[in-house]
This record gives sequence, C-alpha cells and structure tokens, in this order.
Amino acid sequence: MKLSWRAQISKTQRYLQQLVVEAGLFCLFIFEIFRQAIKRPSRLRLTLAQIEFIGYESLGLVVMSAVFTGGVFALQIGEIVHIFNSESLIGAITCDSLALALAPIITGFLVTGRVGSSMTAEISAMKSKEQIDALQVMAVHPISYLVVPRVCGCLFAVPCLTVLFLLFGGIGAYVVSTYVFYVDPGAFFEHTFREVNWDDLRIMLGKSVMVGWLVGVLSCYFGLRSSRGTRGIGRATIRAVVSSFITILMMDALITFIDIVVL
Amino acid sequence: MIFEFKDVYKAFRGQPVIKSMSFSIEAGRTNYIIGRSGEGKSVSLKMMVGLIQPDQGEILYRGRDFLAFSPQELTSYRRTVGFLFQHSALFDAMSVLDNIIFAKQEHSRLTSRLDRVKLKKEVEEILEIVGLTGALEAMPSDLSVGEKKRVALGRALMTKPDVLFYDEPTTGLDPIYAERIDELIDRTKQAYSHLTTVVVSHDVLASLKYGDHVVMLKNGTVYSEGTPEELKTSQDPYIKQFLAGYWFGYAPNQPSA
Repeated sequence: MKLSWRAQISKTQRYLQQLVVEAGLFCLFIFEIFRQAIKRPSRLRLTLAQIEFIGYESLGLVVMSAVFTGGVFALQIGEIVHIFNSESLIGAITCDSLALALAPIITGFLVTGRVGSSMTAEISAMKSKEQIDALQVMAVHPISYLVVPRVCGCLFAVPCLTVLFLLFGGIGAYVVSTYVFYVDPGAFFEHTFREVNWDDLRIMLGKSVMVGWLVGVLSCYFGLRSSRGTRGIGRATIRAVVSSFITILMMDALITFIDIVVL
Repeated sequence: MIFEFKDVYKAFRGQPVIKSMSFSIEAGRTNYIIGRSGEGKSVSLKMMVGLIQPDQGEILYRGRDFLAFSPQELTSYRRTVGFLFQHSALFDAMSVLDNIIFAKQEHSRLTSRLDRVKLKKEVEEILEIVGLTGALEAMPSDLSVGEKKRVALGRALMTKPDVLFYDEPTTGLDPIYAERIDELIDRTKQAYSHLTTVVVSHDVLASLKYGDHVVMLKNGTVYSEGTPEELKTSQDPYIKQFLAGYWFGYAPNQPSA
C-alpha cells in the first residue's frame, strides 16, 4: 500500500527520532566503557581470557587467510608487472598494499565474523536468559564485567593479528614470486624492505587499533541492546556484523584520506 | 515495613501493566504477591531491585525514597539482597561452585581476596541447606530445572542477604518438585530468621500455607492485601474464585492487559 505524504513524513520523523536516541545511547555506552575501564576491580584475568579467545584462537584462520590473500594478490600483480619485466617488485607492491589497506581490513572482517558475532550472540543470549539482570542484582556492572574485557581484548589482539596477517601475507607473496615468477629472493626482500617503511606500519597499526575498538564496541553494544528471544539474538548479530563491516570500511577510507590528502 | 509502593504506575509501549499500585512489604516476614499472568507481579518485584523504574508513583525502602538512590547507594543496597530469577539465570560457562561464589568473589575483590577453599566449605554448607550436596563441580547444563533453582537459591543465600526475592520459583516444575521448592523457601526463612522474603507466585495454596502477608493483584492494581487467614475467610467472589482455582465465575477468562 502506498503511504500518503503525511504518513511518509511522520514515518521519516519517527525514524530520525529513533536514530537520535540510538546515537545518544551509543555515546552514553562509550562514556560508560571509559568510566568502568578505569574503575576497580581491574578485569585483568577476564581480559587475558578474551585475548586468548580473540587472538590465539583466531591464529589459524588469520594465518591461512593471510597466506592465500598474499599469494593471490601476488599472482594478480605479477601478471601485470610481468608486462614491464618488473617481477622483482611483486613483494614490495603486495606487502605495501597489505600493510596500508588489506591487512587491517581483512583481519577486522575475520575477527568480526569469528569473534564479534560470537560476542553479540553470547551477550544477547545472556540478556535473554536474564543473566544480565542477575549481574545487576548482584551489584556487578555488566559493562565492567562483560564489555570492558572484550573491548580491551580486541584492542590488544587485533593489532597483533594484523601484524601476523602482514607477515604471512608476505610469505604467500614470497612463495608466488620465487616459485611462479622466479624472482630472486634477494631482490624480493630488498624491494620489499625498501618499500614497506615505518610510516606504513604506523598507519597499519593505527587502523588495526581502530578496527579492534570498533569490533569490540559494536559487538557488545548490539548484544546489550538486543530484544529478548531467539529472533532478537539473530537480529542483534546481523546488526553487529553489518555495522562492523561498514564502519571498518568507513574508518579505513577516512584514515587513508587524512594520510594522503591532509597530511 | 521494608518496602512501600505508593500509586505506582508503569506502562510498556503505551500499554499500562501497573496502574496505581499501593502496597507494603513487611520486614522479617514472608510476603507473597499473587495474581494471574500479566498482572504486573514480576514487574513490581523487579522495581524493588531497581531493574525497572516506574513511570509514576513512589517506592519507599525503609522509609527512604528508593527511586532517588544514587548509583552507589543502589549498589550498596543490591549487596544486601538476593534474587531468584524465574529461569534461574545461572551462568552457563561456570560450575555450580563458581556460580554460587560469583557475587561474593566479585565484592571481596574490592577489599581482599578470599580463600577459595574457605568459600568452597561455605558453598558445601549452603548446598546442604538447599538439598543439593555433591553438585559442586556440576555445570548448569547437567542440572534439572528444579536443581537449577536450588543452585540459584544457593547463589542468592551466599551473600547473606537481608531481603530475598523469588520470581515465580515454582513455574515449570511438577507439583511434587514445586512443593519441595515451597518447603525450601519456608525452610530458608526458618534458617535465616532476620530475612525478609518476597515471593511472586501463581501458587495460591503455597501463599496461604507459607506466607505471613499476601498481596493479591488484579488488573494492575492491588485487589486485596492481608494475612492468609483474612484471604481465606474473604467473601469476595473474585478472591473465592481465585483461591478455588475455577476458570469460570467472577474473573474474566482472558488475562487483562
């Protein structure tokens, strides 16, 4: 049924109102994370458990993805640079692209898919089973107990995983360069280390910290904001994953723009 | 009087659940809040621990405005209460022992780290009270609904509360197990004489048998309040029908909004 223009306006108004409320709640949530993070008790043991879950348990996935991404990327680049007889640049171009764009983003996507979705589902299931209420009644702040360790875990684990992604992506590129395009290993390393400098690594780490923050915060936020019931868990997980993907890409575009155009 | 509700009103998505509700909870006694489904029993219970805020009205806790409590005051208050949730709300990833010591461990961290062995002994004593000895290392998934409720009661008792809230403790249990839980509520009250107990239930017979003070809700308001004897001797047709448990009579068959 087609809505009248009055109904359309009121629908848009409601949507905007909801958006403003949601933005306000999200800001309060961020503020509360900072407030709880500096308060006692420190959640060191829980944070270490999260680092193990986010970082250590994602190692296999990240390493496999990195090797294949690096390898495929090197193959594609090799095909182009082969025209100019510049195969020795394959490693440099691949590793530079990995450091500046692919490593933080793909690691962010992998962590969102494997860890972020699980965090949202776990927290929303806890909410559904009144476990969050139970925490509150036992005078334990849910943000302190559930969110702060997860966000801190992401902030530490995602940059580590990103560095590993770059390393293993480089190995994938090395294998393709030397065994498919017969690049001399010495030339591969010389060009790669010349091209990938500390500035690139700094940008990569900056992006990966932002990715970790986004994945941790959004996953927990949508988990806590979920409606009760199994449908609520599913919806919350979808919202967390989709918004993490979009915000990661937006953040990447913004940082790249600042780095290239502004600085 | 430990709690006093004065003209409390609460609506969800525009639908009023509690309409001008006024009643009191007596200190050191077993208080039952009874009524049909959707009358606002659990909502009023959750208001007493600050999980739900009323839209209008006043709630007094020991004569003080409960709704004006600061976050710190609310935290201190919550450390003095225990709450048994309808579906137990045990943490799935933790053993029975860890579930029971959770709150105590969390709070003791603020001053000193308690010896786990000492806590374990304490838990064993509590499990004996709730009739679940030997389940220390079991996981919640290994337990039946009734056993989970016992663990949840153990968790609530671990912090030695002044007030213990039960949200429909016998829902989902067979009559025999429900009776055992009701007995357990009574036994717990006997074991901890200072304890104020607030039970939200559909179980009229249990409220008459174990309650000292019964609040009966209807259509989001207090229909009757008094001792079980007063309720038993009431000539009110709705109360008589509710106590008898007949589906026909004064009360409409559909639960009210």
